Amino acid sequence: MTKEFQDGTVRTVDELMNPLELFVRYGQSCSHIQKDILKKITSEEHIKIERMCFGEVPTDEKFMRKSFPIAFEWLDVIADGKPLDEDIIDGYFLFYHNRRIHEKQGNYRKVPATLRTFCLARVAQIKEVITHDGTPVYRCEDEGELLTSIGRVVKDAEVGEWIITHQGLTVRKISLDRLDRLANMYAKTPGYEAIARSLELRHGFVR
Amino acid sequence: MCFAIPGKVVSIDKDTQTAEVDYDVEIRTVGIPLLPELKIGDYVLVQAKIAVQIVPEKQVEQFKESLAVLDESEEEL
Repeated sequence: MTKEFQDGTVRTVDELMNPLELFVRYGQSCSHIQKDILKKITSEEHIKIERMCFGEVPTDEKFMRKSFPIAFEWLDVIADGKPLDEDIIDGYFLFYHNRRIHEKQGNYRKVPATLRTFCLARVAQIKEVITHDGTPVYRCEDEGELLTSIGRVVKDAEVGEWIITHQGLTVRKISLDRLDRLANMYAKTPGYEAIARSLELRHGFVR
Repeated sequence: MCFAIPGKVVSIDKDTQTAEVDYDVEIRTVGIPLLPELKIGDYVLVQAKIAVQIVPEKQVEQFKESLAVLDESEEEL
């Protein structure tokens, strides 16, 4: 099965869930602050990120590395010379990114709780599926907290299934077996503190 | 850093279940079927052009104050 993008590119389904496509599903939500607050990307670049996220154009690694340079530096350190894959991307958000938020590191200590926790990558179980203008909306639960997640890029999730939701967007479905495997894998990666220190030294910021 | 940016509801169209949301830099039209209690002046978080959560105004004020002291050298997300 193939999909034709708006720019005419045709790719197979297997290629659709490549690591970069997964990354941009997480990253597009965060690109608003890059555009509106920090002015690090232009409106045109922001639109391109959104279109990549929603599958309207293929991902562009060079462009993404330019748009999220420090995040990719983290990912490359975690990958330790291996190609980026889905495990590295999901693990980065579920364990590194979430840890920084939970521990209120760096800028996260300056931001109110609602806005901070909305940025967590959360694993939640779907309790109800409703539809708005053809887009599924998942009412889901994470440790007793009810969440709303928009299924713009994951349209086939069903009640009882588990998803990763980030800033209100359903990033992907995930099995609890895979979640366990990721947690075990990340427990064995190079120490978080060592990676953080190395990047602090390079960029001069304090966590 | 990865933060949600709240926008202020400046108008509501109940017929189309949409609202105009002001982000200072631009006004965006978003769907509001998930937040029937929404009213003008509320602040919301939006995903894929659908408002998904109301943010308490006090937290919005805290957020605005925090913008002046953000460290721009941190990773993007």
